[in-house]
Amino acid sequence: MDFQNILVAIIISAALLYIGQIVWRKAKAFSPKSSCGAGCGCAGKTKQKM
Amino acid sequence: MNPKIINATERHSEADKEKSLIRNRKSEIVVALAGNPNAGKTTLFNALTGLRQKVANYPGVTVERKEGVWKLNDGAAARLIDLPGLYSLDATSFDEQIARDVLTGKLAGVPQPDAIIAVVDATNLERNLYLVTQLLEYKIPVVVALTMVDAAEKQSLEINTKKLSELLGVPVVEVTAAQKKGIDELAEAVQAAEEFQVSNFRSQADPTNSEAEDLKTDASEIFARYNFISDVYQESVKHIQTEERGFSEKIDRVLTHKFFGLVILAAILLLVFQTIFSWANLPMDLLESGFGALGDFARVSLPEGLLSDLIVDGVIAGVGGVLVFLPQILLLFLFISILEDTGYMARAAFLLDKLMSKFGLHGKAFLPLMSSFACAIPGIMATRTIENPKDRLATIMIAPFMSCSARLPVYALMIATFFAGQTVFGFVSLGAVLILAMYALGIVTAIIVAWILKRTLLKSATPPFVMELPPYRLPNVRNVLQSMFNNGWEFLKRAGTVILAISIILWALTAFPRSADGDASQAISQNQIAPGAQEPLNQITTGDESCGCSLPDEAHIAEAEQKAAEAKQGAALRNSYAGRLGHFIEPVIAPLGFDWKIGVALIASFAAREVLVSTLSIIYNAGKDGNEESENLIQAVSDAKRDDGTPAWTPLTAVTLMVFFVLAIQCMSTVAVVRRETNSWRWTIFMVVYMTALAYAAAFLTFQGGKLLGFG
Repeated sequence: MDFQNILVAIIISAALLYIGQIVWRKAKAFSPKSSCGAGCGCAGKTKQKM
Repeated sequence: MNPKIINATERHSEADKEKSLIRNRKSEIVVALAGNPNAGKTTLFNALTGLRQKVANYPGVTVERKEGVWKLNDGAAARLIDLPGLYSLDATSFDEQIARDVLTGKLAGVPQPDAIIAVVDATNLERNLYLVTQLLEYKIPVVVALTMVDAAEKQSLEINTKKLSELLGVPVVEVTAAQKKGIDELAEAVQAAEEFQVSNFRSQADPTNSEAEDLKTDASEIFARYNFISDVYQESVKHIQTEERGFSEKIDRVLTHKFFGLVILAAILLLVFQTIFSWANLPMDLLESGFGALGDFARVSLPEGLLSDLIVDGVIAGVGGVLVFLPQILLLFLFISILEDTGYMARAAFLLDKLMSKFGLHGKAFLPLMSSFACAIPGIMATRTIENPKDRLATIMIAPFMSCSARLPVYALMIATFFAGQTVFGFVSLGAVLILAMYALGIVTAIIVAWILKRTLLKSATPPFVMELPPYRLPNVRNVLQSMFNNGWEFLKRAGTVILAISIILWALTAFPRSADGDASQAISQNQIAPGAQEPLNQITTGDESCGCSLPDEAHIAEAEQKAAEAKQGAALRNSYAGRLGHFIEPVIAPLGFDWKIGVALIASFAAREVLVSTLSIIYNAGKDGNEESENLIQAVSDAKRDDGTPAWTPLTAVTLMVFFVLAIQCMSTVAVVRRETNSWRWTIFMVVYMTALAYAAAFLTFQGGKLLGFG
């Protein structure tokens, strides 16, 4: 494997990691956070289910 | 005066004095900016902070939080927190709850303000003072920034600010943020406000009291406030009698007319779209040539191999393909900002609200829906101002139908490829008409869906709604440019992050698997090469034995080699991971007139809608002959062929794709926000399913109907 191929592999891996991290963050956003401000309405316990 | 007015000094407890001393010792004071919507809060915030501002969310919630650094007169800095636009602090909406939590210091990560600037619109003094009376109760020094005094004077109102200050018990500073008038005085007043008495109005309820948080403001409380406001108003404002009708009122008679108003709205939007297309042409051409030259330069400079392919065919083609639409995005936000600043957007809201309310939508739904034209995410978050959960849910369910700015590159590519230069009635650009039609399709579908939802799953009475129409103003150049710059920057950031990463991954998906020697075409077995393309090579190798003709000349050999190379490239793409994925979904999208390459782009665009453009750029770049000169994306889309050699795109396919994009959810971030805001998987899945089904059905009807009518 020459230098170019190694570089390409690194770039692709970095892109995959970056997108993976975004998807992970979005997936986490699917579930309500536990540490919300008082009565802000976002926490599972306080928010009225629609 | 109202009996509830008490002497402010009586309320200054020892604790308050101590708090004030602590504040004085702090190097940076925290100032909250509060005010009614349209009171000039954003203009003032921009004038005070300039570019020293950052936008985030309040912890744990998705209400936008704007903060900035305000350089005060003595060189000290204040941390300026822009609270959401509010009419009151009754905490009936999420925005009001957030504001209350900030003012009481109960919101984690946000310090309790040392002072509050209450932005008050002089033309709507009575209504604006309601919020001020509530702010006065937080035991935090308040300074009133009186805006739009010139507009009030034009309305024959003469405001005695000194008297107003005396009656309220807080400093009142006249401010013209656009011209930076009164900014220094405001800074002085805020710095001096540490020592200032808190207010002349005090209700019986204490907002900082935990019991009061859940207390509904009762009627007597409201009457007490309005009595106080009425007294203050009568003593500080003088009406100069005049026969002349307000300028705004005269224009509004026409612009908010139920028929002519809608015609004028359509004409204005048409003009905006037409201007966007014609003005953006030159910078787009320049950007396109720039990226072409950059690609050629990279190809020549870099040693031949995988890295060169990745840079040229992945990064430059992908990111460049999207970035060329930057001028259109900038122009779109320039016009949106001008329409907002002049006050016309509120008239458009009023017109469409009349229409929407007939279909059961709450009046407050309009602003979230207007925000969704820029991006559905802030639009969905803005539904927090709607108190009724069913009305709020109905608005969330239809917000993504509004054509957001991420759809613009998709529409623009289709129009530039198939409808450029075509006109209707000889002078109206067909492209502008099509864009207007796509916006209208989104609005009409949203209204129909809302009507159905409000009569079935989300049945509830729609409360009446009063909308405020701000007076017409000249747009503020600074605000307009700042909005354009901010939105352009967001677009660039997306291009440099998400779109760049997706472009790299998509390039890899189109370039692999490869054979051991690194030549993609070698990975393809001979029988995968299209039979038609093999023929010329066979003829050359077999010479005149098969056809009886003379030996082919150099031109024929070159042509045959080019065809063979193209066929190999095409076969390599078909055999790639992206190709396999595209072929897997092709049976589903074939009835819409889409081939597998468009299918790959549709899947990729679920990450972000504009990714469709970069994906097509990469796919068509990978599929073309490597010896060919670099072509632009418009040409590549126009020349693209299916596996059977027929054109992949026709004008009908382009319109079908646009219809699909108007109605499909196609945005991962929007789905995530809907889940979070509704706190329900059921509604999130419902939205994804119904929007996808609707988009598919509409695209199917467009394509098959168009074919039946002979447009195919």
